[in-house]
Amino acid sequence: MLSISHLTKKYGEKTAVDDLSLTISAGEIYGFIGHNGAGKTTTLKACCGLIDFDEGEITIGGNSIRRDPLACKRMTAYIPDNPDMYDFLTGHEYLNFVADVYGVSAAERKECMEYYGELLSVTEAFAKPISACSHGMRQKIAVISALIHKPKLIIMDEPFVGLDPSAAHKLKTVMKEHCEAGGAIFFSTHVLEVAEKLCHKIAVIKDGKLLKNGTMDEVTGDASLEEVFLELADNDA
Amino acid sequence: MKKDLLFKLISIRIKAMIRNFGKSLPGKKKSKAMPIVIGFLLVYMVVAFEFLFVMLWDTLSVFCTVGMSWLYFALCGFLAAALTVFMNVFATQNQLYNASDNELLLSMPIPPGLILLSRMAVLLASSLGTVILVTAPAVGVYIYRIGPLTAAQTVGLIASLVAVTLCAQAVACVLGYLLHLILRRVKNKAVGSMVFMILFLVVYYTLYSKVGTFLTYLAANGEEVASFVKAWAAPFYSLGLACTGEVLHSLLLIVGAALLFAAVYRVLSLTFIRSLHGKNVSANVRTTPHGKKGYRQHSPSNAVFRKELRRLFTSAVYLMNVGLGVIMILASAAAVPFFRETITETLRLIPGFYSVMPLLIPAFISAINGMSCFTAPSVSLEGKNLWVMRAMPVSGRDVIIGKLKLHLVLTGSASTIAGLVIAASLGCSIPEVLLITVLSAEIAAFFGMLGLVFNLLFPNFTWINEAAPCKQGMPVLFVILLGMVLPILGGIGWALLGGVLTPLVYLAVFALVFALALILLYRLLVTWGGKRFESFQC
Repeated sequence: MLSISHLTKKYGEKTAVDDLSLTISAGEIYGFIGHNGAGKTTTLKACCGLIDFDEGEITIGGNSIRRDPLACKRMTAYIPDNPDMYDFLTGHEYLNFVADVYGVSAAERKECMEYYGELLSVTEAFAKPISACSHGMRQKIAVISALIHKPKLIIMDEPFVGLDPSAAHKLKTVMKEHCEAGGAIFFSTHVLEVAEKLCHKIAVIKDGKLLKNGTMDEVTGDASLEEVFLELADNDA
Repeated sequence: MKKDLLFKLISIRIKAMIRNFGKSLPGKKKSKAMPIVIGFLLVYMVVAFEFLFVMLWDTLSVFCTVGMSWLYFALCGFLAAALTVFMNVFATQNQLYNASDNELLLSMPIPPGLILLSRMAVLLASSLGTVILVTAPAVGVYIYRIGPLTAAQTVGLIASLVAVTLCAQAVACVLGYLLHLILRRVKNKAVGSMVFMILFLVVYYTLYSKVGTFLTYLAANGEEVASFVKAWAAPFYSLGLACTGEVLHSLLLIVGAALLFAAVYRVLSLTFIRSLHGKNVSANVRTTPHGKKGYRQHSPSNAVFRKELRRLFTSAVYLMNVGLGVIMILASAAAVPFFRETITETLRLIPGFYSVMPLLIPAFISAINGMSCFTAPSVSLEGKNLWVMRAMPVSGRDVIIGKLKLHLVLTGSASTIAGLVIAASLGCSIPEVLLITVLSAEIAAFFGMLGLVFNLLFPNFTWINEAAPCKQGMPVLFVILLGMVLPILGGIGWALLGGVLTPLVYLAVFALVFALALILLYRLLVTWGGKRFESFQC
């Protein structure tokens, strides 16, 4: 589904991502953890075609993000850590806008908006301008905008920030359903407990370099993810 | 302690203004030439204004020669105050009540009154600038015509400057407060602000059109006007006397103005928090349309166009700064049929102008299009939302076309209608009317495409306030300049070719040139423009 091969991205003298390679298959929830400034967001943005990279290749569904970005984006949905959506649109208008761009039919989008709106308890917020919504409401609208076009790959940057416990639980359910239906999810998080319970595979990044990646058992063994993460972070320091 | 805090708040405000302006300058590496270019433009504008005022005060300096210098300065003070109030009301309302850091500062242990005072202090500086703009030429003319100022007059003049600034800003604050209260109750603030702006402009242009008549009346009825001012406008009478050297009146002015400003400040500071968080009809709240209508499917480029349209009608800054130009185009089209005789008579008075009237119409359309270019800030306006378009499978080409569509639908339609109506009303021949209509549409499209090219070349996605891309951005300044330059170039061309070509043929040549330019620009936008948009990093 997603293949990152020797990805390197530099900002001037600083190497934000250094020779990173990983593969995500259909049906996998892939967690991406690392300290602040490790290169998680840079990696995720590169996968979405939001930033160029210096070396390496990223393919989504066999399509290169460099050579055929639109084909990649048609299969992908992205939710940033702080979704700055169009404040001047209502939730409903924004979701319709996204649906229009992805070519979602009227019937499908109606069904999706009603279903997820009720699931995430955000239907009433659809009528409000996004500027009037709380951070949690915006996050939920962003999640629905990602699901409305039934993407194959969802890329999320810290999706649980700002969600109440009920909404976080529902989001996890939605993520599992998405992967059971053949999709894949690649997301970054600081909440290691969530990553531990939810992810099929995990990657740990520090200072742009991949320290460890694989299935949860391969990465953690008998230890907890927190212990492994802290040990990796300390050892490399 | 409070004084230190006040200075800190003022300095933050000034730093924010400078940073916003700096962010509006194009390019990651700020060119050293850019501030010089902008400085030159500002100087040009100031000189143009001052020239107008010098002519005005020269006409009124007759009062000084007949021993009514106080009336001369009273009129100066009145005009300075009126212009300051007029130019500052919207800025006052915006800076006092719509500042993005209001909540942050109010959450800190800072007295709300101090926050308000820091904003009013910055506004006072801007008001003082306007007052000096009006007063300096008046003083210059006085010195030239009558002689140097005495020490007492200088004191009086300084007192007048301070007093007019304080009073004008106090009135602007009151009007700004009232505007804020009204807009809070209006559903669509952007449209509400625009309606107020139009009303203001109608008043302004009505008064402006009567200036000539008023000046003639003033010159002919000086005594009557003087009696009126003495009886009914005591503060301005006092101002006039202060400027002629009456020290007591200088003191009265300062004290009176300070008291007025203090009173307004006191009232506003007591109502500051309540007016920020009081009853508020949520702007732009729309009930979700039910049924099929709420879920209609549109093409990607149409979706972008609809999004752009929504942005326009929910952004007071965008709407007022660009949308107003469209209103002016349509207003001129509506007005010309009623004033055609006055216009044609005026043109006949200027040698050579009536015969080239068909050429003046596209020149006028060009000048107004410079102020009605929706595309010049539209790429920058993506701002922090850029990731939305960039993360979705919509090509840069579709985004560009969606943005251009907005300009063509609004400014394009308005310009085409205006060209047709004005040309027909002023008695142009049928071929001329047709050519002018086509040329007007082409001019609008030209500005729309060029505005996009400029904005793609000089985008600014890091703005904090929409005013940065809409008012201060280089692409916007470029198109305004172009709107002024194009008619001049047309005039130069006519001066060179007028002996050989008729106005009709000249129009046809321009129509052809613009048609070719449009083809080239469109190709550029859908190829380079699309790729350029897709290259923007988030």
